[in-house]
Amino acid sequence: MIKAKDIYLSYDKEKFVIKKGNFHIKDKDFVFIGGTSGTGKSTLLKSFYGDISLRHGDLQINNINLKNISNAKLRKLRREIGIVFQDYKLIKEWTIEQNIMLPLLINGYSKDLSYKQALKMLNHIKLNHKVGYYPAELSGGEQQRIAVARAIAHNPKLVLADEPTGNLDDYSAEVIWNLLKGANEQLGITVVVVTHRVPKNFGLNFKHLSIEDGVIYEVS
Amino acid sequence: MKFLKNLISFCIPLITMLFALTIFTIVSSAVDEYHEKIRNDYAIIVVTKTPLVIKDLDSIGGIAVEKIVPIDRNKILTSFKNRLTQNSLKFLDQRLPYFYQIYLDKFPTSSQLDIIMQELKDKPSIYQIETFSKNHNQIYSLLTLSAKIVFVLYIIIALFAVLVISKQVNIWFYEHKERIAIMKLHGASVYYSAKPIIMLTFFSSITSTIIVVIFIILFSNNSSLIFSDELKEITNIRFDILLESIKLFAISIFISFISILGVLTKLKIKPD
Repeated sequence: MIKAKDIYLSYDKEKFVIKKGNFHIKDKDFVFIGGTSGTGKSTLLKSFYGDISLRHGDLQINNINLKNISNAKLRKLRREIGIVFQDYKLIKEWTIEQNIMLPLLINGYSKDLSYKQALKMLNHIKLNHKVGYYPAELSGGEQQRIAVARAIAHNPKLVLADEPTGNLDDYSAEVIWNLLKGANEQLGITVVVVTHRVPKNFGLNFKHLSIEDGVIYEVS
Repeated sequence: MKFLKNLISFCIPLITMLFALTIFTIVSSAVDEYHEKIRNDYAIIVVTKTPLVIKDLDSIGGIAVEKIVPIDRNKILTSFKNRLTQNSLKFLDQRLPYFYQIYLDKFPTSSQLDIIMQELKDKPSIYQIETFSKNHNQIYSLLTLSAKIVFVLYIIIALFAVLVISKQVNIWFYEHKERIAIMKLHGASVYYSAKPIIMLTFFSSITSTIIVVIFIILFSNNSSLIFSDELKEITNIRFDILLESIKLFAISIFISFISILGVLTKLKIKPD
């Protein structure tokens, strides 16, 4: 699913955030990327969806090489993955079901089918009673559930999550972990999560990548 | 409410531009109408010593000769019948030259008229030429000048419309930059993200066209109230409403999409 060979990442030419990265994430893996704040976890995740370009090395996501990737190929890659952000990134002027419909519509599904799938997802995350609500009318935990539903609505092969529980209380965090675990176990989606705190008693085999001084290590 | 506000801000430059185009159409139609009228009325009179060989004169000054009509000499002689003796009339008949009216296919410009005069003067049998063109030419030149000025104004207004619409599109993109960024992260193209603004400009083009077409219908039904009777001859313009509507809609769509395309291209080449 993800193959990284000697990858170097930086926002400017002088200071590298990731100095060396070699790892391999297989299909259906559940992966945590850990490390202390400012070590480059989010930068590494951003490189997976082309939000930051590679300085050196090779990075392959779902058989698409991200080195010098064209805009068209990058759009194609982004359509094939789901992303969950710490700040949810929901479109505030759209209802929650419209937000879930977004990746489906971008992938060319009809409005009817997308709406049906959005309702199905709302049912799955137990927010079907909130149809027609706007994100601002929901709690942080509920908004993040919508973000997870949006990320898996089009049944992608890969879901990337950047600190998905960073802003949530323990209960809401557990709901999000369960949703991501379910996506991995039941739908066979590869899940890569950036977090500074791996949840205890996760109850699922996972791979753990850690970043220290810009170098990526495989912990388990 | 916001949609209405956006619609109005797109419609104003479009309506201004379409009005300018309609005024240009009216002025140039008036010029064409006047041109046609003076072309039908206008003829050059030539006086020749010998009968003119008409087939030798199929074009002059680069303009095709439509017809050459000889002026009946007997009419001239008849007008002198009571004032001259029989012998004098006979003498006059022998000495009276030949008169012709030359009708042209197109009303000549001043420079073309100079060439025509020169070409006719070069013909040995012709010894007198009268063009009567001065008055016609002045009015025609004035009308042509007004049409050109209106056209220049139309181009300026169209450019301003493009600038104003581009500005509106830029504002829209700024207002929705968060939404566009989220859509982009999900693999949407700039064109996909711009769908609402494309739809908005499409509706604006339809609305603007409808407003201007209503104006044209009102104008063509009440032109006598706007123009005085003296101007009736040249302002008797008949609009093909359907054709005008299609023309106006095509132009407003073209201007809108050119503006959007410009902004989109700028955004597309801008790095993330």
